[in-house]
Amino acid sequence: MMEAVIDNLKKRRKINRRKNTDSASLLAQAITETIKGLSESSRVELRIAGTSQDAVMNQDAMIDTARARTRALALEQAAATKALFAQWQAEDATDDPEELKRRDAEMLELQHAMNENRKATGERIPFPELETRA
Amino acid sequence: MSLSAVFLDEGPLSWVTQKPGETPDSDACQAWVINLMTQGVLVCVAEVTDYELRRELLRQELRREAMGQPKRGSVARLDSFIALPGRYVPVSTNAMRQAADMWAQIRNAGQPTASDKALDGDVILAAQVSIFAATQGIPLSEIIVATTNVKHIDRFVQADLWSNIRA
Repeated sequence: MMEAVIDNLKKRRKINRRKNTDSASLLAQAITETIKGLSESSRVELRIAGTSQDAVMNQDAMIDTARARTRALALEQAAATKALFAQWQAEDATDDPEELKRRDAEMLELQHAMNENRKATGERIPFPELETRA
Repeated sequence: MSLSAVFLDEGPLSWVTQKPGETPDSDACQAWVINLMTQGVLVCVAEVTDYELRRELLRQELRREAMGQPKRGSVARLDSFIALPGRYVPVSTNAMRQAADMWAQIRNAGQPTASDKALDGDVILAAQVSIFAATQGIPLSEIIVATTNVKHIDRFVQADLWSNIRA
């Protein structure tokens, strides 16, 4: 703040060179200008702070809306997925040991194939436990 | 951690689309997704994950067909599962551009996640998750990839073993 007062004092001296303004008056003018400048920048800061706060509040409100939308969609998904799984249960459920053994073998074959595909290109494999088992 | 959405990686996706009673894992995984959704967590499938599972299911079906065996209906189950509301997240131009950016950055940082010759499904999945968060207005921190192998996918996006994820 002192630097600002000195700068303003220098400006005042230049402006008042031809006038016989005394040093005390020049200093008073410089201080007044500095304070005026400070209060202006304070107003600017307050305005920016207000805008940022509004933006944060708007963003929070938007996120809350997105969460509510997502939650409603998830509940819709839950009902539809339960119905789908029930349908699969009705169509495909079995307790035949041979059929269960066959399904297990096919699942294992699928998992090995998925691993092989990614291993070939050095990618992360989906079923690492199969590799340690082998 | 508050969760809004879970993206199924190909491992959990292969389990949730199995016939009931196929394996204890598939039954547990099906119960787990129902529990998530019931508690308001969206369960999503990225197009790249669908592609990676679908191509293997098709290969298996074609092999069965060639041997004169009946179809297992696995592709039809995958189709039904991803057709449910809010489930399928298609690949977009923005996602592919983000994936390209991630792919280049991770290689320049000397931490490649796959061979340079690989298309690198993991970066495409991570980019799809990231773009989904941005377009839906959900913080990325509220989305997680449910997987059967976390290894280095969590460099790009939040990920955990499916069985560790709770709503």
